[in-house]
This record gives sequence, C-alpha cells and structure tokens, in this order.
Amino acid sequence: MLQVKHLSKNYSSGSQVYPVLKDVSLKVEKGEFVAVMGPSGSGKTTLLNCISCFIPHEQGEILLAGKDISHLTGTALARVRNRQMGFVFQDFMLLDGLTVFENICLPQIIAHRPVVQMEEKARNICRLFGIGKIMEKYPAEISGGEKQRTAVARALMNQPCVILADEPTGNLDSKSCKAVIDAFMQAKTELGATIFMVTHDSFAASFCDRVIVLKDGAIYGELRRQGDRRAFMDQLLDTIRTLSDDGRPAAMEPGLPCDSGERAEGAHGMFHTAALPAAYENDTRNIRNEDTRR
Amino acid sequence: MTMSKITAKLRGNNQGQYRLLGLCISMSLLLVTSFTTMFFSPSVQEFLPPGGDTRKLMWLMLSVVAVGCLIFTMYGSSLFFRNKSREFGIMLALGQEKKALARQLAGELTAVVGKYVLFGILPAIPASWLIWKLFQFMVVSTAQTEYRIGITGVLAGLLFAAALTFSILIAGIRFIRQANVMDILNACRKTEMVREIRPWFGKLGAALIITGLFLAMAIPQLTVRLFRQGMPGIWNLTYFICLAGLYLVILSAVGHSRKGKHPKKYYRNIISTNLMRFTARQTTRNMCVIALLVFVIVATAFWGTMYYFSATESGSEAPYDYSLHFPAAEDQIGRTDIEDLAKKYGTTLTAYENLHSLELIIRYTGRDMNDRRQYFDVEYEKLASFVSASDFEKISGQTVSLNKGEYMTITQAGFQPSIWVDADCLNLIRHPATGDETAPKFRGTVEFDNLAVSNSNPFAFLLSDEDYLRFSEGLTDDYREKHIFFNAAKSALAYDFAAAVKQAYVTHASARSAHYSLYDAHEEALALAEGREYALAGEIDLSPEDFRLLNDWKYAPFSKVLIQSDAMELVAVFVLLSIYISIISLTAAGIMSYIRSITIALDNRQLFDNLKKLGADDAYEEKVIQVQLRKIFAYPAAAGFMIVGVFSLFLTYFNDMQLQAFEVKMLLMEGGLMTGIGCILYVVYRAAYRKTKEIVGIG
Repeated sequence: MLQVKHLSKNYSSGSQVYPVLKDVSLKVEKGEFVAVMGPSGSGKTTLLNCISCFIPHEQGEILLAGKDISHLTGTALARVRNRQMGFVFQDFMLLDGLTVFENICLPQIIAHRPVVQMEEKARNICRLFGIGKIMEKYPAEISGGEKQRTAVARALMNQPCVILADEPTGNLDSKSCKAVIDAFMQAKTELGATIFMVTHDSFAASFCDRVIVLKDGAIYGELRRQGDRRAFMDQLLDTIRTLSDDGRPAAMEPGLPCDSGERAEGAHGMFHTAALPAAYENDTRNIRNEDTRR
Repeated sequence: MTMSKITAKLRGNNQGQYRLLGLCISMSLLLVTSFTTMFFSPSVQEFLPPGGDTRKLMWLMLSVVAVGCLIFTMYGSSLFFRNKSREFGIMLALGQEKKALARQLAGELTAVVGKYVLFGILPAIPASWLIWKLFQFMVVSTAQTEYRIGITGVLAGLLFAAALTFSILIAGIRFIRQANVMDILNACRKTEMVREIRPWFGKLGAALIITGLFLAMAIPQLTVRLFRQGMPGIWNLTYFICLAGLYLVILSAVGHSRKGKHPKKYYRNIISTNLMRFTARQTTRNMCVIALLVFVIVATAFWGTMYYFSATESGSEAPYDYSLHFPAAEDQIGRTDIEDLAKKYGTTLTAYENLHSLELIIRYTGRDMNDRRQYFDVEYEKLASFVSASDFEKISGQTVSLNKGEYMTITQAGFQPSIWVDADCLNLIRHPATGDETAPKFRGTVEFDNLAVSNSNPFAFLLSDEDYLRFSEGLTDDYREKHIFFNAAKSALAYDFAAAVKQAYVTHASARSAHYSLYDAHEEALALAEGREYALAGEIDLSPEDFRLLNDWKYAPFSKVLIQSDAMELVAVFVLLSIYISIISLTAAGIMSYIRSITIALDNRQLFDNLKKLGADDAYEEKVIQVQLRKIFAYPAAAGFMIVGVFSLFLTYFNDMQLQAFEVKMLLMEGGLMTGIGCILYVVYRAAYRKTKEIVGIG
C-alpha cells in the first residue's frame, strides 16, 4: 500500500548540510499497522512529513497504492491528501470553531461529497469510536482522548489508503492513550485501515504488527509481532533492555538491511537490524518504558 | 453542510481576529485621513508658504505617521495570518487545494478590509472637523481658521487606503504561497528571535542616532556657512543612520540581557526579558514605530510652541512699545491724535519721538542659490531707508560715530547674519532724483528693533549727518518716510488703546500706503522698464479688522501689546496643524502600545498558566506583566524623547549657530511637554496593565 524507496532528506543551516534521512526504504502492506520508533532526532517525524509530502525530499520515491506521489503538482497532491491519506497529529489539529461532528465531516466537505451520505457516514464513524455523545461539542469541551479519537475518525472519513499518525498518544494520559489505540485497532480490524504511526510510546507500539526502529536517519532494525500483544511488548522491552545492557539485542542479527528479507527469530517476534553500533544503549533512553500501563 | 457554511462558522468563531485586524485598519485610516483632510484643507494649504520649512516638516510628519500606521496595520495583519495559519494548515493537510484557500482568503480579506476601510475613512472627516472646532473654541477662531474641507485630503486618505489594502493583499499572497503545510502549521508557534544581540548594540545605536542627526541637520548648515554649498536632497538619507541607530537601541533594550553586576535584577526580570526576546524582531519594529510617533508628537508640539513664541517674541526688545512709519506725503495721525486716544483709554504717553528717513536707491550684495544648491553672490538694486546719525542718537540714546562716506546697518537685537545677506552688504547709494552716487564704507551695526522691523529690506541704514543732508537735497516726499515712536503708561486698557491707535492709523492710510510688505517702488519701475511683471504690485486691502495686516502690509504699525495679544491669530494655522498632528500621533502611539500589550498577553497566556503550575503567585505574575509593559511603553518613549531632544537642540542651534534666550526657554518647555506626554502614556499603560491582567487571569 505504501512504499518508500531510498528516501534521503537533508536540512541545511547556512553552508552546513545535515543529513536527516539516509537512504530509507520501507514497505507497509494493506491493512498493516506499523509503528516507527527511535530516539529523538532519529528522523521519525521527518520521515512521516516526507511521506505526507508536507516537506520536500532530495532523493527517493514514495509510492502510495503503487503511484509515486513525491512529484505531484499542488492540485493532484491535495487530491491525494484528501482521498488517499488520513492524518492524525500529536496535538489533534482540530478546528476549535467547529463541533466534533463538523470537524469529522471536513474531509468530505472538501471533497464536495453529497451531504446526506456524508452526515450518515460521520454519524456511523462517531458511533464506532464511541464519540456519538460528544458530536455537537466543541474541541474545547472534550478530553484529549476524545479529541484524538475525533481526529482518527476525521482521518478515516474518506477511507484513505493509509493513516499517517504523528505521535498520536504523545499528549495523552494512559487511559486516553488506550482509547486512541483502540480506535486505531477498530479502524484496522473493522474498516481494514492501513496505519503508519510514529511514536515514542512502546505501549502504543506494542499494538502494531511491526515496529521499525530508526536511528540517525537510517533504518536500524525491525521488530515483528507474531503472538500475544503483552508478550510482544515484553519482547520489545527485553530487546531494548538487552540493547541497553550489551549494545546488541539477542534476538537479531547485525548488518542486515530491513528489506533484505533476512530475519532473526526471537521468542515472539523478530528484530531486523541494519547496523548495530555499540553505543545504541545511549539511544534507548528515549524509548519510553510504558510497562506500567500493562 | 457546505464549505461556505463551515468557513462562515469559523469566521464567526474567530471574530476577535477579524476585529483586531479591522481595528488596525480603521485606526490607521482614521488617523491618516483626518491628518490629510486637515493638511490638504484649503485653509492650511493657503497659509503654508510654498517650499517653506513648515511645509517640509509637515510632509515629514505626515510620512512618519503614514509609515507608522502602515507598519502597525501590517503588524495587525501578521497576527491575523498567524492565527489563520492553523486553520489553513489543517485544511491543507486534509486535502484542500491552495487555490481554494487563496480564493477564500481573498474573499475574506476583501470583505474585512472593505468594511473597515469605510469605518476608518468616513469618521475621519467629522473627526477632523471636531478637533478643528474644539481648537477654534479653546484657542482662537478667526476667518483664517475656518474649517474648509478639500477633496485632495480625502483623495490622499483613499490613496493610503489603497496602499494599505494592497500591502495586506500582498501579505495574504505571501502567506498562501508558503511552501509547505509544516511551515504553516508551525507558523503560529514560530519565534523570531534575532540571533545575535551584542552588548555594544545599544551604545552603537545611540552613537548612530547622534551621528545621523548631526549629519542630517548640522552638516548642511555648516557647508552652507563655510563653503556656500548646500547639500543635495539625497543627503536627507542620512536620517536613515538615525533610524538604524534607533533600531539598534530598541533591539538591544528588547533582546539583550546579561547577569553582569546585577544578577538579582537579571533573574528577577528573566521571564519578561525572554517574553520579548522571542518576538524580538516584531517587537522592535513596533517599538521603533512608537518611538517615531513619540518623536512626531513632541516635535510638532515643539514646532507649534516655537511658532507662538517666535510671534510673541518678535520685537520684544524694541525700545519703544509703539512705532508707526508711513510715506511722508501721507496725512497720518500725529501726536495730538495719539494723546487724545491715550486720554480716552486712561493712559498717558511716557515717550514720543518723531523721525524722518530717506528712501534711497541702493545696490547691495545678496545671495541666491542655483539648481546645484550652490550659493552665489547677486547684486540687487532697490530702495532702502536711511536715517541720519544724529536723529538716530536722539531716538535711541545710543552714540554712533560716522564720517562722511560711511554707513551703519540697523539690526534687531541679537542679530545673526543669514546666508542670504550680510550686514556689510551695501555697495552703492544713489540719489533717486539726481543720480548722485556714493560707495559707502561699512562701520558696523547698531541694534534698534523699531527700525529693524520697519520693512526696509534688507536693512535700514545710518548715514553721517553730512551724507544725509547731501542725499536729502532735491528729494521729494515720494522718497521720504516719517516714523513715530512712543510709549504709553501701563493701563488696564492697553490693548484697547493699541487697537484704537491701529484703527486710527489704518483709517488714515490712503492708497499711497496700500502696498504689500516687500513692495519696492524702484524694483517695480525697473521691472516695468524691462517689460517684466512685478509680483508685488497691486493694492492691499486696508481693513483694520484683518489681523494679517500686521504681517502683510508694508506700513504695518508695530505694537508690542497687539503682537503679544494677537500672536495666536497670526500663527493660528501653524499652531492648529502642529497640535492636531500631535494629537493624532499621540492617539496612534497610545493605541499601538495598548494593542501590543494586549497581544503579548494573548500570545503568552500559556506561559502564565505554566508559571502558575511552577508555583508563581499573582504578585510574581503581576511583576512580570509590569516589567513587560513598562518596557513596551518606556523604551519607545525614552528613545523618542532622546531623538526629539537632540533634533530640537540641533534645529535651534544650527539654524543660526547660537542659542538665544527664548530658544533655551523653548527647549526647557519641550522638557515639560515630554513630561506631559509621558503622563498620558502612563495612563494608557495603566489601562493596558489592567486589561492584560484580566486576559491572563490575575486578580
């Protein structure tokens, strides 16, 4: 559904050029729930912004449903964003002057869809995500979890190919976080949504089918969930802890690029690694330990 | 549910943003249009001499007010776009096309700008009328100060409205063209800290202000005096050095802070300093505009005061309180008439002197300026008044020693030569009837205001008795003038007596005397002989009620009482214009400072919430607000006062390379004006402080 090929992105300050993404390649299948984790400054949000075409990139291709969207004109890009992408931001990005219902309707209003079907669909989505009772409320009148569920609902209104979520649980308490993750899971299971989420939150990531670890702008490895979520989270935390202890997780092999197809078996999943520097333990500090939520 | 309904709802929900932008537009237009309505009114335009300093100064002030209001409105529009950016960012992220958003923005801007342009322009005319009438009611009401509206003023206002609209639309286009969603989404959080604010910025700024003013104001005067070369118009760009200095001073005040020797103070003000630092560029720009407006407020008020004082001080050093001069052939009032009037008004004459003068043809060296601003000598030929040395000694009590072939120049007290003519200008004296000529030698100057103000241009002169007799032989009354000087005892009816003398004097004046002040019969004859038109020909309307007679009439009577009492009538338009601009600028400065304070509170509500969470009590937050607002009000005021102080000092000093007593008095009064303006700004500060506290939820 979503494929990124050899993506590179630099930021520059004066004559100084800082590479942020270095030849990143990944693939997300239809109906997959994939998380990207990594320490601060690893390029997670930049990767998401490049995929969203919010910011330009220097090299590489971004394919959505098989079509390269990285060189589209403004109008075509707007159409892709409206019909094929759904966005969920850390700080919700709801319009304060519109009700929850109106916010959810926005993508279809922009697409000039018929009003009756639009409203029907919005009501259904509200019911699905348990926000039916707050439909007429304004963002200022609802909780953070409700805001984010509204944002997820809005992202799903046009049945996009992929939902791109940037730290969707970053501003939420654990209860709200769970509610939002539940919303994503509902979207995945009941609506068949494909979700690509950037997160620091290992609890949220444990619900995903796959976790891609990014470090210093390159894909460092990949952890795939194959069994129970709690076990996956334990395995994820163990892996991270192991990395912290000896700089190399037990359940993966070094030096394998993520798209090489070679995988290291773990207890409940697999961790792929592109390169494993000994200093990795320093970077795991930023991956939040959320085991208290279990 | 359609997009138009959604945008209408969002618009309704964000009324505050639209109102703020609208307020900026309306206020700017109201101020500028009422200024232009007033400045371009026929009453003012007919009064201001073409190319005169006042006209130039008023243009400068109009430019400063217009640019200030434009920057202020652009600040309002930047707040509007910053708030709008979130909405547009979300719309773009959800797939709305930029074109559609551009159309929506254009529509909204057109509606809001159109509406508030009308709100600004329409009340401008009644506002200018109201202030004018208020001035007439409180200060002086004359035929000259009648309110007359000119279409040019309204057109200038409309032109400014067009410039304002164009600038806002350009800002809108720039906003919509922002390259990507992230920039727009982040725009509302963007800080604009200026990277490096060096410790010496403030000192450099102050030096640049002084240097800029010195270059702009002193150098042109010095080059004229030393090299007889005026500086080209482009030299006025040196004022920009002063502006750069102002920017650095304010920037340093806004953004520079260090622990230095007062770490306690540094930590006490750390929040307010940083509040400003992170909006340094915008804050500095705003403060510079306010500082310039403060400059305009004081400069125009000072200018108006200077006019009034110049008028009242004119001839104040004259030894006689009254003097009359008229053609010898005129059947004018004499001693008996004046004594009768004195008796009627309960006073007596304490001194009375008669004097005769000769009107002889002179050739003298004056100066003119060419297109390259070079001053060059020109020899002029015209009539001038000559008094004999012994007559002068009699009326003045001064002793003069003049030999045959020598002359002295009669000047006002404290005379300083101007670039246009020197006291030793006389090259030749010629008898108008016989053609007898002499090239006299200059023996210095004598001060005697009563003769110096008698419209003998460039001066009146003294001749030795021998020369005087020689030139008076064969001279008809057409070339003679009579002078009467007298003093009257102090009386409660002194003004009525002076007015009665003036009335009687004007009534006795015939067509022989009805000439404009610089009329010269010989110049007219020369012009006619050469087939040229003589600009000062024609009869002046001798109406005693017309107070302009004192200025425009060749034989205008001199009376200290009348000058001091009617000074305001003489300079009413200048004073009115100055006060008006001062009021407009003060209003603009007050509103800008107030809005700036409010927006700082609105932008930093979150910060104050966070401070509360960190344990700050109301008193601490109040202190933060106080320090912040004091800076917003105090820095521009201090900078503006400093610039205008130096400006006024340079203006008065370099005008004639000396400070006269009355100029020192005016400079001191300017200090008083600054105090008054400071008090008004303090009242606005208190109002802003109350509102800011309310916004951040204190008290």
